Amino acid sequence: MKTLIELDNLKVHFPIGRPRLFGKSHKKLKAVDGVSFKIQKGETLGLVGESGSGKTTLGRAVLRLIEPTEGKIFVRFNTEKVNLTDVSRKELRRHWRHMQMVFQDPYASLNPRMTVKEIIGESLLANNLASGRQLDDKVVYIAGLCNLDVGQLGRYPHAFSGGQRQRIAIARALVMRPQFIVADEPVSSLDVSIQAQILNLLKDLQGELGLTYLFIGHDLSTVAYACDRVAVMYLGQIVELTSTKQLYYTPKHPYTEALMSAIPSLDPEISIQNVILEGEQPNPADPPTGCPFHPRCRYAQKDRCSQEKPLFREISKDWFVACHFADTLQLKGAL
Amino acid sequence: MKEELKLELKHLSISLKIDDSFVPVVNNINLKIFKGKVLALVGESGCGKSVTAMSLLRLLPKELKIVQGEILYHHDRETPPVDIATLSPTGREIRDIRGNKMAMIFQEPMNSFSPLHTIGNQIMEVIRLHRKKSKRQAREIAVEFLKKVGIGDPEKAVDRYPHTYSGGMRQRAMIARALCCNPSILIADEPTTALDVTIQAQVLGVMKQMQKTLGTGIVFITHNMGVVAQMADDVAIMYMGEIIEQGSVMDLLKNPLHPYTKNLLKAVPQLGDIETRKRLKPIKGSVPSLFERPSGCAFSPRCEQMIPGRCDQDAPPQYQPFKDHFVVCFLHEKSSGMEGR
Repeated sequence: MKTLIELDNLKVHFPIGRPRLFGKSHKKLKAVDGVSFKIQKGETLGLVGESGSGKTTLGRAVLRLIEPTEGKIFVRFNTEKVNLTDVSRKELRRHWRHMQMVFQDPYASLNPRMTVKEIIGESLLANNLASGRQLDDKVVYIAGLCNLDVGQLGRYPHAFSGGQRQRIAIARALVMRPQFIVADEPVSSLDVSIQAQILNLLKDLQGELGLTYLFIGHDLSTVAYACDRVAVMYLGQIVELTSTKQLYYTPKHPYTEALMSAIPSLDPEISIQNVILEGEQPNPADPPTGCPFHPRCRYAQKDRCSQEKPLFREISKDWFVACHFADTLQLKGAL
Repeated sequence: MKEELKLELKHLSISLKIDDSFVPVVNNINLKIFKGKVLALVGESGCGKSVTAMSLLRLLPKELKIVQGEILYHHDRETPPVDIATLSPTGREIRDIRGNKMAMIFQEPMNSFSPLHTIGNQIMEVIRLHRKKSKRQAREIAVEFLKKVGIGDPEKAVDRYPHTYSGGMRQRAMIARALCCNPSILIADEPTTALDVTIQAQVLGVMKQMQKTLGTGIVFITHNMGVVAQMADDVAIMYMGEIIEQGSVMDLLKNPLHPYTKNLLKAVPQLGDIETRKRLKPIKGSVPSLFERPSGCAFSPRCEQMIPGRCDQDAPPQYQPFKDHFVVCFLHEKSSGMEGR
């Protein structure tokens, strides 16, 4: 399989606190701190983690909607491999045709003063890719693909329900015929019966158009359903990355284990056996030394985990874990 | 020992008043909440579950009126119950119940505390209002409850302001505030929807423990079936203001009867499906607006087993195909004795 996106030690640091008298602020919030992974063409890579773990920042940084502080983003939309962090702003726009985003809240992401047709067609106009009759045709075609009622394209977003709005947002992302889509919690704000419609739509579109997704979510069952591989994020770092099945059933990182144990089972006879996480996620502005998870980890060994930062390493084929004891720990997965 | 009935809703109907017309929002619902039991109220947005919850404490906005029915609160086994529906929403009697005998946890932990007062003061306010305690005693109780819900270093945390608490901590502090007067009923309106799974597990654990140790009866409003399976004793499914199916959590999840309940369970991804990659089955269409209520059974336009000429014409009555398992659907007409509505 072909690698479409490759992140190499990507970092996004935000300056915080008051700047010193001479010079810049010295404190930094490391929202994304050294993330490396590859996304293959045609796959859906899930990204899960608690709020504040840096999922959304990472998702945006991949598209350079937030400028990365350090690291490289390689994309291979045509035959050549391009480092996205090297290109100029102007050139970036050209690459954006191939990579689009679907946002979390369809009530906030659609301009209420534009008709649906204008919303979907805007990016084509802005890039001079179509106009007039051709534009209409393209918009209608994509709207149809997203199961929108083509007769209603002249209406404004307020006339649509949450599920329909998310379809509009997906149509807007697809109209440029991108190869890669970052979907940031695309179903979190929707009702359960509507979630299934959108998840199925995303799957169908992937099959028809050969799309590649980075699917950000915090609902673990939804992510399991939607994704081929899943990456778990904690305090700006990826702690585990492997196939959905392996990650959910046989996790190798203690944090993944804790996440999996917290999923409420649909079977009332199976009661949750929580691997209770002690305390809260630490303040990302002041992360712990060594392994970021060690203060909450029940397997942590005093000297090593608090001192030495574990490497994000491949413990077996396509299975990456950042834990010193990944090879020896026997962890429980979700049922 | 027989279960102790604490709260009973009888034929409760609530309508939205627009000019001079009434649009039904909650339609003729019957529920019973017992001491130490958890009743889950499940449904999609707009089905009337939050309105029902608000009505129990008479917190409804002016536009929403209780047009019919009773909300009976049982103080104890001896005295006759109080009908909350007839009380004045600002009167002394309801204020004696609200926050004291019956307390509520809201969905948004971020907006449910005043940013101008410490968490401790906001818990102490409730205690001082309902229980004759000195400031120092109230403070001790506040610390004790913060400790019970698992807030670290409660002696210090009690004097901190809400903005220093994380979402999960605030939600737990809200549980502490709701439970500090030992209410016999706790109404929790989507208490974990805004939280991460790990924090959700913590909060659910705290609620479960409180229910066991203090014998609190809980009305748990949610749309997450997994949470229902883990928390509830009994479940009522709501659709467009009506309870369409009701039963014990085992019966309802293992043997759902109403097509809507079945669909709802099929529409959520399950972990067991990772290998099979089974396709989700969404429910077609979306919930109709309150103003365009379909005739007959409200679910009929979205139902795959709809009987033309029947379901879209007549409103189905309530059937009881199994003991303590009710369903409002014509498909179960033959298999059961009918119970009038």
